[in-house]
Amino acid sequence: MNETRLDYEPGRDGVARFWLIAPEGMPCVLQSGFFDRLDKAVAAFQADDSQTGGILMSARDGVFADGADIREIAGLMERGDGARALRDWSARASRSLRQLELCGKPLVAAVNGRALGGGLELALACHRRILLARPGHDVGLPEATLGLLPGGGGTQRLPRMIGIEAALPLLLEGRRLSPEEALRQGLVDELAANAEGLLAQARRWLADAPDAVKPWDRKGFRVPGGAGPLSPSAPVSFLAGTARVKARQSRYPAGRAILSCVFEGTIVPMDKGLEIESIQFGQLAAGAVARNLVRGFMRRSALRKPRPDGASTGLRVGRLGVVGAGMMGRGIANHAASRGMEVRLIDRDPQGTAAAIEAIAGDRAREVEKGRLCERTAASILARISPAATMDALADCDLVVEAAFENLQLKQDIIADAARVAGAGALLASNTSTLSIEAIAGASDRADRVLGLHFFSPVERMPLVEIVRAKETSAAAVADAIAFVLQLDKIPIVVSDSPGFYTSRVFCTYIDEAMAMLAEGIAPALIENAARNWGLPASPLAVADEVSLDLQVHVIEQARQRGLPDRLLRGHAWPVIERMVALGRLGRKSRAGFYDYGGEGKRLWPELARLWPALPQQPDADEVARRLLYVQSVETLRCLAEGVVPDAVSADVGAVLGIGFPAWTGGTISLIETVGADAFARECAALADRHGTRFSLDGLEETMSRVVPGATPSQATREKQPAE
Amino acid sequence: MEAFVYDHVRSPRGRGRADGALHAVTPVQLGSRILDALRERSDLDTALVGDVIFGVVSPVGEQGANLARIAALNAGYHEEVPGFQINRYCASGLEAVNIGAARVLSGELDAVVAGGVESMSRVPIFSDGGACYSDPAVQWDTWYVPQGIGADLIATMDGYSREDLDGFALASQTRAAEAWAANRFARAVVPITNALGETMLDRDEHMRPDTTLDSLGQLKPAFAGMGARDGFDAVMLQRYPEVERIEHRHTAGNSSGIVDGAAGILIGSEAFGKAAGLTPRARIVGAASLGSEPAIMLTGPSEATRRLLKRKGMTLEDIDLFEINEAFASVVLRFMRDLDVPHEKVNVAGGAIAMGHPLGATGAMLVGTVLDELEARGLGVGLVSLCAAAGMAGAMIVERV
Repeated sequence: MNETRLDYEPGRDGVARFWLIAPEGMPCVLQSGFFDRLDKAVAAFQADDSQTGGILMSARDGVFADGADIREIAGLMERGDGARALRDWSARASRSLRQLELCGKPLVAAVNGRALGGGLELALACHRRILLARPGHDVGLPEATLGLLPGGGGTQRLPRMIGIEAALPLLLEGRRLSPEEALRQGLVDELAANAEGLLAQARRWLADAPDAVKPWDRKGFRVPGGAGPLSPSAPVSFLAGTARVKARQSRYPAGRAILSCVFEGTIVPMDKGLEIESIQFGQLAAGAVARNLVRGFMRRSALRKPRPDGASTGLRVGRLGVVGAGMMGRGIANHAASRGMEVRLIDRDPQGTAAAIEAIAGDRAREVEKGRLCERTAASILARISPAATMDALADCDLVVEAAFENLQLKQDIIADAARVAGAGALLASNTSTLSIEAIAGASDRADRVLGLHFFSPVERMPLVEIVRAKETSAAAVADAIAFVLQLDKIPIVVSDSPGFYTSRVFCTYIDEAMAMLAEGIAPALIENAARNWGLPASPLAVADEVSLDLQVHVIEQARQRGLPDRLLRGHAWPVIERMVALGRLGRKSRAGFYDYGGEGKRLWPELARLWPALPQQPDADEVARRLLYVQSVETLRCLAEGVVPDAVSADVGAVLGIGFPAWTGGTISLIETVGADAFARECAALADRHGTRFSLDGLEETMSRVVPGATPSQATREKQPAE
Repeated sequence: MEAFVYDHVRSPRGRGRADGALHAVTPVQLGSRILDALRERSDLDTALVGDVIFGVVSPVGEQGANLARIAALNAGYHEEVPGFQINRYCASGLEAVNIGAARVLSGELDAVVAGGVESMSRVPIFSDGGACYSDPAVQWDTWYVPQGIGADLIATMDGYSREDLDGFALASQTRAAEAWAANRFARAVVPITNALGETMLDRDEHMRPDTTLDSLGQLKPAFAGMGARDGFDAVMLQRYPEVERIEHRHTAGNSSGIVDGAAGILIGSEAFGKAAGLTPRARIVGAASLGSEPAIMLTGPSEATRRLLKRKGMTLEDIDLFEINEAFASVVLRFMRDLDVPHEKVNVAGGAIAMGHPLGATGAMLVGTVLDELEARGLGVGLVSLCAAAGMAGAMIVERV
């Protein structure tokens, strides 16, 4: 059996032991079957008069339980089980935990490791919680971060224990608490300094023959701080609380469901509250958004795993060369050093290298100041970065990544130089986002070991790396690059060498669509707010300002020089780019772009209304947002059709993590499934009629039916028949 | 059948705080005082009154449990006079009048007393914990956003500057002060006395006749903090995506005041007038109420007015004076702009910015004010309209006879 067991052992001293035992090599998570075993154990405990109390702990040090088995719930969600089936799934666990709570004998959770999600809910159902206070022994209910809610009583027990005002942030944000904070907030009753103390404290508590009745099962119980619409905290918790959640997450139903569980559930007795929670769970989990978010989590987890790939040379990067100490080079160096690699940092300008190292030192010092990093770690990170004056310093590097200015000649020279000095097995990478890897590789004598490693800014925080495979790149080099990205604790996707690769190409369609709309006379505020409403926090004109418009000119000019086809020359956005650049409004860096950047934050530049007068009849915000999202999905289909990106998983994960495509959609391809392939095709046909062939699905029918569940090849074209 | 206004009274409005002059008066006492005054002034046989209808926006605690019936019993009305309380939020007092008029027009009753009571110092706004502002799912789905944010959004969309709003507020103060100075409220206002017969309040206490544009300009925007901190601005922009950002321009000085107060109107048929020996002062021409976009909440009065005029076959030209509740300055500015009505015809005796807005009672107070002002000016037809929470509005037309 590959499932977590629950072993029951009566004790000669009358203290029974309940052991959570996860199979070797398996995560300590709770499957549905676990609750059958829990029921049996509790029944045996109840029936055995020789047992007066119990201690529940994990057989695995450091992990009490990591929650419900996400694979199981993901399976139910992907299978499309309806709200009632998913309600039953939650109610099943909830019932067992409630039986445990009502078993009549005191049961201590001796929490000897982290307890998350369902793991913490199991502990909350016990009559006392003692947490072994070691670093990493965090507790929390992170379900909201997966688009779900704690469906095992978490939304009911936590507010009844610590009050609604304190419980809501923990439920809504899914934050993990350290042992000390868990004690302070009242999630656990005691901390234990060591394993012996943990057991001793548990036994001591049991020795006093404690009452096994929870406060909420006594007459006259009141939720601490009050519950319901008239509680003193209701205006903060529920009125402002709801607005705060909706302001940021209007497309994410988990927050609303959690707020409802707490509001409605704490007014009624525990058993009714648990019913409310399970119903909310069922509704939430049966929805497409929760499915997309759980799907995204599963896919990211899979992409983080090493791939058994015979092609790899087994390269493990101990020493990394970074050429170019600008923002990207600096970020790569800083991050790699924090992952234990020795870094050689080189810039044409030695002062640039020094400045970069100084900036890294400053960043790390600030983290130390804020208590996010200990001083020793910061020092060791810095010690691992050494400046180098010449390319010779790269001789012993396992991998060299160049992050120089986007100039083909420059990059060719660097890669050629690196190839001359580096060892034969070293991997050479370019961080270009626009140039041809094939062209860069061509200047070296080992094109098979050259590829693109497209990092995103800020490197330290952005989780994605796009690995770009050129025509000559060997399978071994790609496998090595994947291993390197995993070494960096980032998520790799592998794409083909082509203009803009995958993420930049799709990103350009996003900002271009916004600029085309501006040129059509759609009000800029409407464009920006429509994007935010649909979950694009980086609204397109604001983000265009961030990446700067002169960069777009540069990219388009390069594309022209390369003789790329018209559809990649971004003609619909060009008039706006050209006009803005001519006016010197390059973006944030010139403190003037689509926005003005003044003292009181940025404001849309009022003159936009004169340059591109607003249409008297403005479109619906949803239509604006659909254009902004769908254009990216269509471009992704093209990338899939052309083999630029290999599969829907890479496409979805890349879009969400690389360019901020809304996570609730699951990604550019999952979006199509979410809105329905039929509706998507119909809408695209209409958009193509109105705005041009960039929305056309012509020629993409086969691709769509391959990657979108429920799509058929005829769908993309069928809707072009004139409507009746 | 006609529904006539025979008399109307209101309390002075006390500051809605613990140091307000009416803070020691219970809501039932306030309501009873109004009923007392109507009986005394007309020497009314209360057995002729078919019902008492009070608007009460926070009908909980001492202001709950059908305050209208209890106030009637407490005031010594005939025990056969029933009563009920209604809540159309800020338009409740007007709605009570409209319902009363409709009962008379239908021939179902000969006379009613309609009005409202709100002791905001004792039962603060939101005391009822209603679903729209406490139940997260309801708030989420039905777009509850505190009304001050909507008022600021109106100002932002229409381009009313802080000076525009303050200028309107100043006019409210000036007009109210002039009306009081000219004794134009004398007939309507009944002093509130204590058990020993000593006067507790006989003037509107919230007024600041020494207000200047300068002093108004010193006040801080009242809703900027909650708009940013609690996400209400962002939620509002989800509904109004064409707006870049909400400019917070409303302050305590150009928004309605929180006050305690009560009002009542004696409405009856012609036959009632004969039986009671009373002469009608005006007839109620018609009424309307409607729902409008709930997030911005406050924009209903123009459409309610248009609908009512259309239904009655009238035009704006037929209306001599308007009373549009000054919930916020932008509400009235929007009304005047929408319908192209000059400020000279609107709120000629000031409004809730100067004198305060006792939620459940205000509508009935405005009916009384417009009638008094029509009489004072020798004019014929007045229109009253109020916006209400959750996106509603009421309107009615009254004509002197």
